[in-house]
Amino acid sequence: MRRTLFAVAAAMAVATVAYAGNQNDAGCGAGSLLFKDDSAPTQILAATTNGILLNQSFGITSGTLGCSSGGILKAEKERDVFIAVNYRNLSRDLAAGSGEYATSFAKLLGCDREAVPSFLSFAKEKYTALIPSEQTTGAEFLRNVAGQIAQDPVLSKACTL
Amino acid sequence: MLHYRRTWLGGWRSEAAGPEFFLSPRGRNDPQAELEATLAAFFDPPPPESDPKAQHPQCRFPARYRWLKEELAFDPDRLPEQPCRWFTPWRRSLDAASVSLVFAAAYLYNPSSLYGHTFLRLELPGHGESERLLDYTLNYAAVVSDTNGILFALKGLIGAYPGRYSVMPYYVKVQEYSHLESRDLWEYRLALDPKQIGRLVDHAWELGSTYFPYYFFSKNCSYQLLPLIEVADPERALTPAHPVWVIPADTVRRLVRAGRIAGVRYRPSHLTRMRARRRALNREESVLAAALVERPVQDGLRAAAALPPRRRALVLDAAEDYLLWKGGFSPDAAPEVRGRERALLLARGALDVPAAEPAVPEPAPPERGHQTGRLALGAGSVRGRRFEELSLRAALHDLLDPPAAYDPDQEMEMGHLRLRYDERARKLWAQEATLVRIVSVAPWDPWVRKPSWEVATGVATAQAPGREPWRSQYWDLRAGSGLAAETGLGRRELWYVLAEAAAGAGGVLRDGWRAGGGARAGLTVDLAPAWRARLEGRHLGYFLGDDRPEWVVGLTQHAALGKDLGLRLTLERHRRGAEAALAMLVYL
Repeated sequence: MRRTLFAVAAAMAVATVAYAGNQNDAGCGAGSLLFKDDSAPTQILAATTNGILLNQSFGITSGTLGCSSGGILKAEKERDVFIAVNYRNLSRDLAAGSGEYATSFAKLLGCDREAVPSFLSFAKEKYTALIPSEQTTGAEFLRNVAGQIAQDPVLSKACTL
Repeated sequence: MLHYRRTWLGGWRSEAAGPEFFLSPRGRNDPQAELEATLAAFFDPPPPESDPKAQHPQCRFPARYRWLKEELAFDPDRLPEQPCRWFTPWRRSLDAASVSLVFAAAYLYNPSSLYGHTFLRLELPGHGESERLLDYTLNYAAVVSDTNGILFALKGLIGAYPGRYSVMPYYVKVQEYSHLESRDLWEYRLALDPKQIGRLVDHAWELGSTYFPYYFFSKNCSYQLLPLIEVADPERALTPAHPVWVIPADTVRRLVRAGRIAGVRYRPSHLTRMRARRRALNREESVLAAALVERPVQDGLRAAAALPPRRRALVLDAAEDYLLWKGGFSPDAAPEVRGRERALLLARGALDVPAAEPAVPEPAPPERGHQTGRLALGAGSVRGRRFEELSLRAALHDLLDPPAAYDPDQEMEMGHLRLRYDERARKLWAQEATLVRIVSVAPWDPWVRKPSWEVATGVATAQAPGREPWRSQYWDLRAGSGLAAETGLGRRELWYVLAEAAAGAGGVLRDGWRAGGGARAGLTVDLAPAWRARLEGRHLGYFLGDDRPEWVVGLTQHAALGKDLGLRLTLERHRRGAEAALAMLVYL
């Protein structure tokens, strides 16, 4: 219980201090809302722990996260926040060429439903170009995706990005 | 729509506490005044353009406006409809085609999650089933600012925290519950038509402006979803009139019973899937998967290369699951973790084997478990003296209660009162009044590495020999830590041993108190689908205060006679003598 509350207090401090964050934060503190610490035992959710809403970022008429309003993400920030929260699951799905995260990401890229299978196999094939190293940040990854899609004859038409 | 409830004196009171929810100063207690003030306010002139957050009353209360407009047939020439700069874009983003109630299973490591959690998912029309992550959720939670544990508990119990509604993408919730907290999710599709859904979303905007007092036990996350669904579908009364406590599973039961559920989907947690993936591996492959995470990854990859592609893919998938569990899900995980992960993902990507969902046996959904409360009536004897016993338990589950829809290796009791009546002496007393007891005896898992533990406090009866039990009550507090293991000699056995520390205070104790430690060991056996037995021994030596030790050895058997009916036979030997009791249990 103490650990939870310590994390609560720490998370509050993080969330209320400027969203300087890090490069994986979508520029609006989205990542820091969830990940306090990268080691599994102390990973305790910062922003919402069911019965507890630790900060008002997602409040309906009060919430502003910099990237959202009333909890709805601003269109230009949708991809960034998705990546900030789901980067690990997403990169896993992309490497394997299938999965919920990759499919949802294709949707965020504006790809037509029929083009999704092409996107998935494209992602698997071009994985090292999309994520060149384990230090690739979310922002770099998104740039790589845009660049690679532009060069792909099918996807450059099917995904409006 | 205004959340009015009848008060004990026959008047009305809205549960909404924020003044911004009412247009009349008497609005909270006077529905008529609020209605009149609302209608009058709809005629207000448009707010100044300069303030982007200023809203016209029609926009602040869109659900009220739309409903009154239809009921009273507003004439647009006489009552002009105002544009809503702030509400309209928000509403358009949430033009849901369907709504689901999502239930997150209980989580023992956070007091506010002990009974699980529920929230709503607004499913957008452009999203297919594989894009549900992009849907938005509607959540009710307490806004907490205290870091003091006692204050936190106290304020939560008396409704001192404000509860607010919030909206966020579903993938945030999935990351939180499924990955970080390893909680299974159940998605219940609600039977609502588009108009009803529209009303629900409109009303959510209205609720967003205000707050409600948050009571952990009664007016909590779960309770506050019911009025929202009721606004959508007023024909069915869902909200309990005066709830003493509402737990999320009960909310699901209500909705199922009212026929409001159109379908249910199970979303296993990351931990559940990891275990399922590991189960699909043979012994060697399982060791290899662990080595890929715990040992130098290149060695593991070399060994994996010897496997046929299909098996190699399964091993790599299990290893990645384990790595995420161990190293965390953060994009900023340690470089060692990220490097290892890259090696695993590249090896996986090189295989032409499609990713497969692990075969997870679907457990019983939460509403199929036994009811939350329990009443037991029994009779027995201790040392030849006959007694009757009445047991009342508010919540929730012990190791012998029917396990369906509950974790079979967890015990969670709150508010358990046992009254005993000694026939010869004609005395009635509280044998036990447990405030809370939580026991987790999950079998040791080399990948999960969570020890067993327990914590309990409440009034208990000391074993003081020579003193009547009705004069032996004291306050007990205990905590323990240990290990558990499971075997499959028969159907299933759970073996556990816990080292315990205990303290007590009460008049029955010499010097008024005691503190000490000991151990508890036991075995739970599933003898048949409806028959469970537990053999347990416990010894506590007290070193401070009253140093008389206590011990008990017992065999308890439970036969389930139906989902909510059971029979329990207890045979025990302790310092007061030999005790036997037979009881009939009803879950309600």
